[in-house]
Parts: sequence; C-alpha cells; structure tokens
Amino acid sequence: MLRIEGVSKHFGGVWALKDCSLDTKQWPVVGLIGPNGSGKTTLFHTITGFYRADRGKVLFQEKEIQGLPVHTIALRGIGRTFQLSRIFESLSLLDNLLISRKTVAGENILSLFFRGGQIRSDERTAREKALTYLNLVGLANKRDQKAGELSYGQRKLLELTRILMLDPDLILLDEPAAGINPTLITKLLSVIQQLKAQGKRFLIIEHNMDVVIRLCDWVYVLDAGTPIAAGPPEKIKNDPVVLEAYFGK
Amino acid sequence: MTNYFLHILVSGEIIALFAMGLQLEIGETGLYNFGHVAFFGIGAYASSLLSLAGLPFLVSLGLALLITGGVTWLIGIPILRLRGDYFGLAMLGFGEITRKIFLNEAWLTKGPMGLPGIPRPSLFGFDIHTLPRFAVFYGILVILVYLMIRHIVRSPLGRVFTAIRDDELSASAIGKNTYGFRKVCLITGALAAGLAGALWAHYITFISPSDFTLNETILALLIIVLGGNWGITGALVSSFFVIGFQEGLRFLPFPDTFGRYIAPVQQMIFGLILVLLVLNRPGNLIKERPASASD
Amino acid sequence: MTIFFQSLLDGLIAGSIYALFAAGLTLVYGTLHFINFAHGELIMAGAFLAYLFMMPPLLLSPLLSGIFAVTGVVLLALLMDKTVFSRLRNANPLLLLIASLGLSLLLQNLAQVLWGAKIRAFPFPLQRGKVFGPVVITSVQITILWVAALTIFLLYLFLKFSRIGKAVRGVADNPVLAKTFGVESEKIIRIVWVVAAILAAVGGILVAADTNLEPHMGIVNLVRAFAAVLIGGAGNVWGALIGGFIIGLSENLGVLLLPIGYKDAIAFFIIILILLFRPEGLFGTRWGVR
Ligand SMILES: Nc1ncnc2c1ncn2[C@@H]1O[C@H](COP(=O)(O)OP(=O)(O)OP(=O)(O)O)[C@@H](O)[C@H]1O
Ligand SMILES: [Mg+2]
Repeated sequence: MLRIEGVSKHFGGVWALKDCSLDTKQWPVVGLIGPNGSGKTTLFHTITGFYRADRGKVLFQEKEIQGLPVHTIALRGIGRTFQLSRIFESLSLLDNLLISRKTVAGENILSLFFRGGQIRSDERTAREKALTYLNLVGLANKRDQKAGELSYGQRKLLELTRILMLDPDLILLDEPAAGINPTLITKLLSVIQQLKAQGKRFLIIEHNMDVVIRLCDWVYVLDAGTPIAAGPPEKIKNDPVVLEAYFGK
Repeated sequence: MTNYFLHILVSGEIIALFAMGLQLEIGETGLYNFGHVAFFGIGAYASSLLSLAGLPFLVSLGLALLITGGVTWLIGIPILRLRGDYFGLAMLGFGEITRKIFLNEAWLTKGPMGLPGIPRPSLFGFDIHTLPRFAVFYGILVILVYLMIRHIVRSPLGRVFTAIRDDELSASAIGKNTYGFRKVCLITGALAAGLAGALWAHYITFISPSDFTLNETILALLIIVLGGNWGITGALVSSFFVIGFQEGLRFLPFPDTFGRYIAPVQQMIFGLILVLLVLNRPGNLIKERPASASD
Repeated sequence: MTIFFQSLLDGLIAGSIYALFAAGLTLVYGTLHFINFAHGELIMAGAFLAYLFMMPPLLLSPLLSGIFAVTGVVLLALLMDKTVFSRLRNANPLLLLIASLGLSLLLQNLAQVLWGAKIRAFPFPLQRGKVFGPVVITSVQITILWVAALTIFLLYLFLKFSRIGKAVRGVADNPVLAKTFGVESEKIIRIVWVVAAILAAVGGILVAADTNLEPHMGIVNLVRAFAAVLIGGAGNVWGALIGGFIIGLSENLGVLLLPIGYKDAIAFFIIILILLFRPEGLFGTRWGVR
C-alpha cells in the first residue's frame, strides 16, 4: 500500500529523515515508534505533501505521490491526523464532518445560485453518514456545538471521524492516544479495531507501548531519521537495539 | 436637509458594498487584504473610462466588473501563495502600485487631474440623476449583493471559507484546494469592491488617484471590526453608522477657522476607535492564536 | 555617467537612513512578531519634534533639538507599548497589526492638526554643494552620512557587546528562544522599543534634513523599511541594515530606468518580489508545520 524508499529530509544542518525506507506491505495496522525528535512526524508531513523530501521516493499504491499538492494526496486516499489535533474550531461538529468529503456539491459558487435542490439533497445524504460516525465515537449529542468547545481527547476523536468521512484507504494517526484519559483511549482503541475489521489500513505513531501492542500487526522503529528495527510488537518491545535507542546504553 | 440625508444614504450604500466585500475576505476567510481599495479604484476607473468613451452605463459597468475580476484572478496567481500578514502587505503593495498607475499613466487616466464629467447611470433610457433615484437604485443593488454574499457565507462554500480561516493546513489535509477557494473568495470580494467603485464614480462624476488611498481600506477595516460578531450583516449596518458620522461631522456648523481641523480630527477618531475596538477584542473577527498551534 | 554616480551617492545617503528605519522595525518584528504600522509615525514624530525645537520660539541648536526629539520619540514608543501593545502580548499578530494601523492613523492626523498638512523643511540655510569628481554633496548630506554611520556603529556595539543587547538580538532572531527568556522578556521588549524608537527618530530627523517633512511621511518610509526587513529576513538586524542600503540604491538607480512617478512604488515592487520568492512567506514553512 505505502512504500517509502530512501527518503531524506533536512532542516538547516539537521537531518530529520536519513535514508528512511519502510513498507506497510499487507499488514492492516503498522506502528511507527521512536524517541522524541526521531523524525516520525516529519515522515508524516513528507508522505502527505506538507514537506518535500530532499531525496527518495514515496509510493502509494505503487505510484509516486511526491510533488503532488497536499489536497490531491488527501483525495488519492491518504487521511491523516496531526500531533496537536487540528479541527475547525468555529464550525459545529456536524459541519466539521460535512465539509470533509471528496466532492461537495455546494462548494461550487455557480451551483450555489443555480442548483439549490441538488445541493440540499447532497447535504442531507452526507448528514446521515456524518451522524453515523458521530454515534460511533459517542459525540452525536454534541453535533451542533462548536468544535472549539471540545476537550482535548474529544478533539482527537473528532479529527479521526473527520478523516473517516473521506473514506481513505490509508489512515495516518500521529500519537492518537497521547494526552487523553484511559476511558477515551479504550474508546479510541475499539473504534480503530472496528475500522480495521471493516478493512481500513493504518500507520500509527504512538509512544504508549500498550496501545502499540494491542493495535499493531507490525512495528517500525525510527531513530535519528532512520529505521533501526522492524518486527511484530511483542518482539520489538524487548529488542536490545530499540531499548538502547530509547534509553541509551 | 433631505438632500443631505439622501447623500449620506447613497454614500453609505456604496461603502457598504465595499465593506461587505472586505468582510467576506477578512471576516469570513481570513484573507487580510490591506489593498482592497485597489479593486474599488479599478472598478471606478474602468467603468468611468468606458462610459466616457461612449458605452452605455450597463455595458461599462459589466465590463468594469469583468476587468476587476480578471485583474484579481491574475494578481491572485502570485499573491495568493502568501498568507497572513505577508499576504496583507503584498496586497497593500498592490493597492499602492495601482494608485501610482492611475497617477502616472496620464495617457489613459489623465493622471493627477482626474476624470471629470463621468456620465450618470441610465437604465434602458431611464435616467438616474436625482438623489432619490440614486438612493433607490443603489439600495436595490446593496440588498441584492447582501443577499448573495449571505447566501455564500451560509452555504457549504462558506463553510470552507470558515475552515480556511480557522486552519488552512487542516483544510488542505482533508482535500480542499485552498488556493482555489481563497481565489474564489478574493474575486467575489473584489467584485463587490469593483461594483462599489463604479457606482461611486457614476454618482460623484469625478474621480482622481487621491481618492484611492490606504485610508479607504482602513475605513472599511474599521467598519468590519465595528461589525464584530455580526458578520456580513454587521458590516452592512456599521457602514451606515461610520459614513453617517463621517459625513455628519462635515456638515456641522463649525466656524471657518476650524474647517481645516475637521478631516484630520475625524481620522484621529477613526484611528482611536480602531485601537479601542481591537483592545476590547470584538467577537471572532480574528481568532486568538490557539495555545497549541504556536509551536 | 555623472548622473549615475550622483544617483549612486544619493542612493547611499538615502540607504543609510533607511537602514536605521529597517533595523528598528526588524527588532520589533522579530520580538513581537507583528508589522508595526506605527513605526512610520515614530519616524514622523522624530522629524516634527526636531522641527518644533529648532523653530521659534525655542530656536535650539540642531544637535540639542535632535536629542530632545529622540527622547520624545522614545517616550512615545513606550507609551504606545504600555497602553496598547502590552495588552495584546499573546494575541494574533494581525490584531496587533490592526491596532498599529489605528495608532498610525491617530498619530499622523494628530500631527496634521498641530502643524497642518503643509510640506515643511528644516530651517537650514541654502547651501551650494561641494564637488567631488563626478558628484556633488552638500554639508548637510555629509552630516547625514556620519550621523547614520555613528548610529549604526553604536547599535553594533550595543548588540554585540552588551549583555542585554545580545539577549535582544537572540530573541529577535529566534522566536523559540523568546519563550525561554520568560521573566526577562518584558524587559527585553521595553529595550527593543527604546532602541527601535531611537533608530526611527534619528532616521526621521535625517530624512527630513535630506528632503522635507509632512504629517503623512510615515507610510512611505515604513514601506521602505519593511522592504529592507524582508531582504534581511525578519528579525535579522545586520540583514535589515544591508536591506536599507539596497532599497536606497534601487530607488535612486531605479528612477534612471522608470518614470520618476514610480519611485515610491519601487519598494513595493521589491516587497512583492521578495515575498514571492522567499520560502518563509510560503505555505507552512514559516513557523513550521506541527
Ligand atoms: N519545520 C522544522 N524546522 C526545523 N527543524 C525541524 C522542523 N520540523 C522538525 N524539525 C526537526 O526534525 C527533527 C525531527 O522532528 P519530528 O517532529 O519529526 O520528530 P518526532 O519523531 O515526531 O518527535 P516527537 O515524538 O517529539 O513528536 C527534530 O530534530 C526537529 O527539531
Ligand atoms: Mg512528532
């Protein structure tokens, strides 16, 4: 599905990514771990088009996607969340989801004035779908509130559902469990499990090893911008190379 | 006295069109266009020159809007790559350069002398040449534009505008071509300003480059900051307040020796109001920087 | 050829003044992260206060007038910070920008109320320029050059060798560093205002001596300063100084190619060009994507 080949990216003198290669192959949920500053988020930014790599290839479904604009990559089927979640704070929860669709009839200024009926039915259908997702994460009762009023954890859930509205083939989550309470983590895990069962594929950055072990089928470990280990989570957990990267010798 | 009120009404209508365009850009989408006056000027000059060349009012007006939209489309290509204060500054630069062009390309614009004798509007033989007719005709246009912009703001398109204002990166991450949407917004706002400029030229019948300075943009900015939370409606209503105040001062019976103070004192008051409004954080015109997004 | 060398000299003189404007503006921009439109009015205030002291009834010497004017502008800058900007420390930079636009409007029209809109000049006797090879230079211009050079030199000493000066430059250069200063940051901000005001006032007096003064002179000089700031990179003082000279030179050499009426637009052209080709202004990379 997603294959990174020899990607490097530097900022000033710092190599945030250095000859980084990884492949999600057939695994439904792939984890990406590594110490702070090891380049995980930079890799996400590079995959989704926010950054352009200095060297290397990013292949999604066997096609090079580097150089495509951010929105095109999103429409090709890669959805992502941000480490510090980003939602549209002055839109309602429902609008946060309604806006998040590949084609929205009412976003064309000419249709607005000439195709009112079509737009209304388009919005009505989407509303059904949005409510289903809001129910899934238990936010349906807040649908008309401004998203800015949500708690930190709820924002993360909303950000995830917003991506689901796009029906992506691959979902990149940047530390989904960080900073949220155990109840919400449980909820998040069950949502991801359900989506996995529906055939969605994930690439997840996560520091919480319990979460990694419960979710991931395969884990890559990044250190100083380079993958230093890969394997099933149980094995990675006790790999001396990984422990050294985290805790030093 | 009636004439005087009608004049304020017509001026308010024109400025309302101008300010509603800026409200769409700044207030709804977060495009800090500090060169909004350029579109006002382009609309005014284009429509004036065309009708002075003998074209009927409606044709000149239509072409002037086309020209305003076209110019906006063109300058949007480079300038819309910028964001925030950098975008605002580049637009300010565009506004000043536009004024210099009005000033220096005398073969076309008669330079600092300005364009006198701009024909009054005429619709299929019906002349708009008295204040009441101006007030009604321009009033109808204001209501139409108001309804159209409000329709846009409340539509799925307006939802994207809000999303871009809230967080543009996030909007592109869900597949929105934000460049395209910002361009649509800028052109729509520019058309409102261009219309205002053209209507103003045909009302006043004389324009010159000194009418199109940064001060006009600041006036519109003051209006939309004053409109605060009430969006496009706020901009519409506060236009009449601000213009009423501005024109009202001018007609108060001050002694002659005091005359030269009126304009600068009124500008001082506008400056002061702008500062006070910002200090008291009016509504959601400008979102506070969220604590998390700054690093 | 003569006209080329003369323009070169005029460009250098103008550039030395713009360098002062730009260095101050970039310090404020680097520290507080907003474009201070009222910087132009600090420049204007410097010119008008010096004029006030030089003219009847006071008739002070240019040097004394200059010192009083600079002091006045420093107080004005601190007052603006105290009453307006300090209340907006964590606000969106655009809010600060709009507030500074309001202040700018307020101050330039205050000057117009006090002095009228007339274009004025300092009461210097008319001078015949001295001829040096292909160029002519007046003694006022020579004074401008060395005052500007001296000011830049003092700024250099301050930023390079004093502890607080180093901290100021560190903060202006690096927004992340600013946070680590914590308690000290308010003090640093005040120092930045003082330095920026001195530079603006000295520059304003010099520009008025070189050309003339009027209440609305701020905006065009602000634009020149901002163009120079962008050339140097926001917050970079040395870059801003060089940028000032580049603007001065391109204005004076540019009019050899362009109609004179476009002289004031040159800085704007430069601003737009730089903004378009500098990645800092572009998508996401300015403060980084997180
Ligand atoms: N926009 C940027 N400008 C300069 N340096 C950057 C930028 N983005 C990232 N870096 C640097 O690149 C390196 C990798 O950063 P990145 O954010 O990818 O790490 P991470 O693995 O996501 O860390 P964390 O676990 O803390 O989120 C760090 O040294 C960081 O300082
Ligand atoms: Mg990270």
